[in-house]
Amino acid sequence: MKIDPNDPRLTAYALGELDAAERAEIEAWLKGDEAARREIETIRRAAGVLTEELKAEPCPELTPAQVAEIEQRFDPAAKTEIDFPWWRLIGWATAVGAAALMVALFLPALSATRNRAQRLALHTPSEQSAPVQQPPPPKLPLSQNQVESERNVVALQPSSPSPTPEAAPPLTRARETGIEAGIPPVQERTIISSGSAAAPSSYGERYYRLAAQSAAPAPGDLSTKSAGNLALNDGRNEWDQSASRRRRVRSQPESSGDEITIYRGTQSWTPPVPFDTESYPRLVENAFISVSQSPLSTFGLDVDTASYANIRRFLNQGSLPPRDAVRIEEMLNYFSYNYPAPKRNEPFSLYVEMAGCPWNPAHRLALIGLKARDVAPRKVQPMNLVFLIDVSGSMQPENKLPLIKQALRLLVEQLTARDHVAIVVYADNSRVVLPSTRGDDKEAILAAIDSLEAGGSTNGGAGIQSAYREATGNFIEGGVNRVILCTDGDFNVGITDQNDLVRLIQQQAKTGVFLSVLGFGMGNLKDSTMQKLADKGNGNYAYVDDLEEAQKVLVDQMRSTLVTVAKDVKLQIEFNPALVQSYRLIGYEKRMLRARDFNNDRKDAGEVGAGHTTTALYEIIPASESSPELHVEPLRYQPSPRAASNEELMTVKLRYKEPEGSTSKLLTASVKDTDASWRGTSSDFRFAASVAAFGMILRDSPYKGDADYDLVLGLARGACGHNDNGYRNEFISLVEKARSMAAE
Amino acid sequence: MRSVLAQHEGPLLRYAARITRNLEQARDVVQDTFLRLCREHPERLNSHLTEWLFTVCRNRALDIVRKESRTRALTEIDLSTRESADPSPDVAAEKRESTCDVFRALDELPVNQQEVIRLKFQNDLSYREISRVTNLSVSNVGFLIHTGIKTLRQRVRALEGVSHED
Repeated sequence: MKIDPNDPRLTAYALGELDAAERAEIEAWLKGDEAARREIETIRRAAGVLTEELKAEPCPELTPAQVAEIEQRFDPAAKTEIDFPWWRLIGWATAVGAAALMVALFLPALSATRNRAQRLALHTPSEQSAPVQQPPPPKLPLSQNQVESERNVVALQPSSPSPTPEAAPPLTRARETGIEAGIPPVQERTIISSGSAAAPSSYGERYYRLAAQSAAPAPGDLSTKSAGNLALNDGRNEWDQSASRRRRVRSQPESSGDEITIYRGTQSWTPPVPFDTESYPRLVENAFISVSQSPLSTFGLDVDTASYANIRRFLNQGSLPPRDAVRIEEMLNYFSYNYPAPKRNEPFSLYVEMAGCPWNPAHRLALIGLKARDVAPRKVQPMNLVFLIDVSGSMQPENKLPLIKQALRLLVEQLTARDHVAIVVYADNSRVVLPSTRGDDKEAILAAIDSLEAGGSTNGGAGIQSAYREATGNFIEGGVNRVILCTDGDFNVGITDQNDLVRLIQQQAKTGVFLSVLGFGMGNLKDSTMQKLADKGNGNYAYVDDLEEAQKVLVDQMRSTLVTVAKDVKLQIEFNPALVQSYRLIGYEKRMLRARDFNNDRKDAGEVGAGHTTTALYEIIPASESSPELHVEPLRYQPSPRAASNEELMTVKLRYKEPEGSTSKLLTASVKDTDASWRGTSSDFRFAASVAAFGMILRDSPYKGDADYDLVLGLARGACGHNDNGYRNEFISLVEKARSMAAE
Repeated sequence: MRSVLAQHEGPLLRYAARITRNLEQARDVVQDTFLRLCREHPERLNSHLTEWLFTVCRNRALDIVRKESRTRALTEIDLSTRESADPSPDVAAEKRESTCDVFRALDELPVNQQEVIRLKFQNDLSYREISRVTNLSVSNVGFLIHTGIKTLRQRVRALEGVSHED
């Protein structure tokens, strides 16, 4: 048998590039083919000449300055990063060099530890040293008979004047308002919305406040909060002026941003992620923060849900999840809530509800719920989706690649001629299995899906690059352009540098191609990597453990998961020190921002998809409550907050950008506490409280108070009011599983 | 580090300059590649060091090429399929009859063949490593090298066994 001289395997054989089996095959052929043997010889000789010639090609050099910069980077004395220059240790390291390196490595770590300990000691000594002390019996026992409504639905107000009469109560123009008196309690769910959202100016903004009830003006309505520009106030009475001075003093912690950096400090504690196990970044829970020290609480929104699906996986397999796999905000946001829909042309509605805290009767619990505009099906933007699918050997199990294929078939049914879909696979190499194809060519898409098979090792980096090329090559202006990475998170060959991946993803997000990450499987799950990648790519991260979840993520929520209605959504809550002694945001530890980042449009934050609801809970210690959780000496030079008789408990500020915008818009709303009890709370509120309590129990949180499984179940069982495809009932069965496991 | 730098600085620069066609940019690319190396964890690289360096270097160089010639829409795909550009001046100066014929002929190959041949013979990367560096499949790399050598043999007598046997 003759070998075709054009067979590339001849060259590969000559160069020693074939594996044993192929080599044997070629050798068998060569035995009977003298011409081929001569050809091999010729190739080898040519290769020899080429090698010789090419290697003799002159090499340019870096400039001395460049070399110096590189060498300096490796100099331990100049180095503060934790990633250390390993070749120093194995290569030309001296004992002195190694010692200097150790010092450089450990000093920052030590000081970080000390810093954190000091800070925590300031605020929550109980967390670090002693068992959690329960606060003393409530001084303000909440009447269980109180049948006041505890619902505040507060409208979002654009910060520029745009009075909208409608049926809504009149706007109270803050700077013209002095002290008013006599406020009736909020009695009903009232939804008041403004007509249009307008871009704010950053300074001298005039905030308008919308009382959530009829024309009666709010007492002590001091809303002249022109950020950094108090001089705007004019014609105010003396009380007003003293209050604005007070405000200025209180705002000092904001400008330093010190308090919030507590969380940033602890974030950097995350140990390096090992590359061979399920790994979860260490999570240090938010602590109670004193309002007098830091009246502002700032965080980025999060609509990720992966943690809940992951917890479900653990519980269904008969084990309690590891503490750090429990992210309470992702549990809360897994469920949908019946918050009122936003008015026309508004991206969000804001819903606030407050009542006594179920796990600590002396505290209040506030729910801040946000609902994003829904996009009617016919208005769904065309989609340009590129699935980047991991087909490495680890993807073989039923709950990985086979599940992805099933999930994709579900999605294909939803596609229309306006959509485009492409499939890129990666293992040893990346390959475009399906070039961008029109959504109505279902046969081609399904055939490509059927052809997917697992095998090989992973290099996520190369695959991501190919996928982005497919996405940018078929970019739909004004549409949804997204790379959807389906993997168990195992990037184990080639570029495993997260920083490089993150940079690529961030770069692409800026051009309008976002990244979603769907995590599959178990045992090899790189939770932290995947969440980080999705965050940096302006995308979301969901963990898919069964076909039902795949249906939820890819089909039911296709619009909301994929169509972003606002990006870089940040919330900032300002608490009134007259009414609030301290507060604790439950969850969102990874989303904390510094107060000053709220107004920094370059600081990115979470994205919100069409129809999404987002929920945050604050546990609030009323000002009247003495708290053992906060051993901070009273500040001597702060004006006494008692002087203010403002009944607003807090002001909620929301910043967001349009999906393709680069400057943010601001919405604000003020909230009063109506001293409501649990009776009459909405089922959404009770359910959210139940989920948070469950999360705190799973985390064995020092803040869980009286929360136990009975409390969780009691709250949830009375809160399965509306049909949500059984997700809430499933939650209850998971809690029951956890309870029986915990009892064992 | 010094040994890593000494060993790879030249080859990486030579490689990057082929992509950027501009020595200054190539220097920036290679410097950046080494700076990134500082942030790497050694256990993730170990035997992959050369491959890693070339991969990062290539990606950075392509980034620059893309940015530089956005108007010409020179994407990576374009780069691998378009006809080779004119030989760089220093290479053009070589005489065809000398052994430097090799460079002249190489420059006339399609760019993707030039690249894999340089990675293979100039930098000793295996097919598999080249495939990971260039995002091409191993069989594609094999095909490109095979075809490239064939063409070179036709154009450069020194590479055709016959000329040696004469």
